Amino acid sequence: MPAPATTATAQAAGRKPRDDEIDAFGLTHPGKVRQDNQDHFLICSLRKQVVVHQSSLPDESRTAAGSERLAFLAMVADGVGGGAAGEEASRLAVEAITDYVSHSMRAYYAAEAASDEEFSQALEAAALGCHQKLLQRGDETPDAHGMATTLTLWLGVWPRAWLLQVGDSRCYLLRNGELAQISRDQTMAQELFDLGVFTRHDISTTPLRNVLSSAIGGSQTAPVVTRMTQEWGNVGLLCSDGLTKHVPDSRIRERLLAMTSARQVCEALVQDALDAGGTDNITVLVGRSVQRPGG
Amino acid sequence: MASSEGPAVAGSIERKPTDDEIDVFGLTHPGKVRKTNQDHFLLASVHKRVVVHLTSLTDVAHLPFGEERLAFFAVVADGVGGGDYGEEASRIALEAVMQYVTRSMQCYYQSDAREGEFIDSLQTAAMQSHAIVRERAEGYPGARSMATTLTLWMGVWPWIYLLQVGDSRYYIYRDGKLSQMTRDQTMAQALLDQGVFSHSEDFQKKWGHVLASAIGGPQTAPVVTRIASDWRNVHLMCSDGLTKHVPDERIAQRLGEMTSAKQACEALVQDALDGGGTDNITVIVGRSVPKGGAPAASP
Repeated sequence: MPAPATTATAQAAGRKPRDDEIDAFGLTHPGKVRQDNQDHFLICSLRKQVVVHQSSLPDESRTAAGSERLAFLAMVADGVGGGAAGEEASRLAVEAITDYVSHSMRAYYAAEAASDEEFSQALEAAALGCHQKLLQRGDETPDAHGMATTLTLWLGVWPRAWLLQVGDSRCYLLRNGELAQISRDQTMAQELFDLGVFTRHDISTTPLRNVLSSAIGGSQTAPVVTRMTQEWGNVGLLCSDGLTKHVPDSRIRERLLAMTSARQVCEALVQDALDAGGTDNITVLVGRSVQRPGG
Repeated sequence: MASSEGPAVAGSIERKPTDDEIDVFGLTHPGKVRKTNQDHFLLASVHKRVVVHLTSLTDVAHLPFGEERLAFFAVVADGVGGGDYGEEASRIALEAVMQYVTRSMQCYYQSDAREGEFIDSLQTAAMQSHAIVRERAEGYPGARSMATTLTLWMGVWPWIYLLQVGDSRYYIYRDGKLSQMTRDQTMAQALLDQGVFSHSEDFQKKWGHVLASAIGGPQTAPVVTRIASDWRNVHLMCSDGLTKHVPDERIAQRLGEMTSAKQACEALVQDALDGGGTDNITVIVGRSVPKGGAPAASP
């Protein structure tokens, strides 16, 4: 027989987190070697809001009870290209995908099984739309030619979540104390490993580990969408390769297990990457849901 | 032959009106006889917007994310019942139906292929509202007869969904012609439909204002219809406090001459007062006015 407290917790775990129960933070740093930062990130929510224009009702607040969160978005883009082109590529990608998701995608919060496939396809289409936009920009501006970017987007529509992956920025999930890499690196090294040409050791040493096999604006773009289910207690992490070049998974896990807040763990991880060399731009986003009383 | 006048041009526009192209107003008045106003109305819209929590982008204000209007709502409820119970009935019913439609309708802005879902949801919303008013009525001795009409207009471009319970009305005025889109749910109308009685004055006096269907009443028969949006339409919703005193021809004239939604509401309420003002009067007028250049250049 479960104790009443346990039952209450179990029931609470099934509900959508309130706004004040979301603990999310993001941080980006140019690192210790590069002069500019070509990474970009964005954390935002899509909200539905009732606006009362005019009424005879004495207490309008009962009808317009604030705004409701429909979806939560977190994304990282790591730009590639000479001069300012890399920064422009990641910026354009972040802006374009957010614009697309917020305006063009229908049904994005209708949590019905039937629309899941449709939804994944829409996200893939959104990534290809961004890709076209970057190619167009590259054609118009000689300086911007060849600019490209990674894009890792986490989109939560409680209780589901979707991950859109292009390139080698990463998404990790800490669940029941275990850290799992949810995204698959779209690099030449990973492709060759998958084909059985490379060993696990080769991946970490070959120069091909830094060559993207798929990128927004690149010669190839192969967006992959993965569907997940959200759970209370999970901690999500998005990062550019500036973190994972220097900080092993075991250290990331340790940091997430010991975290006191999303902000604290982002700061600690960026510091870890800097301490280990900081050879690239570093971006880290961490998010989790923390149950609070009330509501 | 279409003239180059405003209405014909407006008819060629196919895009959704922007927020600042909507000219809408609502007004309620107790009338000259009754001490209390048991009517309620509401004008509201539901928006989707992007809230940025944190980003590396420096110029967030210029991001193209903006805000999008998903739906527009206009509601009239005319309460029935002794004392203050009529007012309470219309207030509770309006709040309940709005809570339901704004919170529970998952797909309310998918304008394609979801017609059935919308209609089911609005009917459920009406029945929920009915249950809440009933529950309230059971709690008070003397409140047992509290009930209300409910006419809800929901615009989800390019469609209008209309929920009708009771005898408040929705009219569309277009190209000089006024059409009543709702059917009065009164005993008179019901008996007339069955061919039992004729349009005699006595008959109208006796049965004209007895509701055959009401939120909180002994019978509730919500009717939901779908109408295509059109830029040329001028919309009018009202409680019977208007139509008791102001004939359709006069309403058509007022809407034909209107300079703004506010002006039309004020003129019509004044007409009802001048005609006797025996009941509470509520009027909502709305239209879309294209802005910014020739419509031919519109997307």
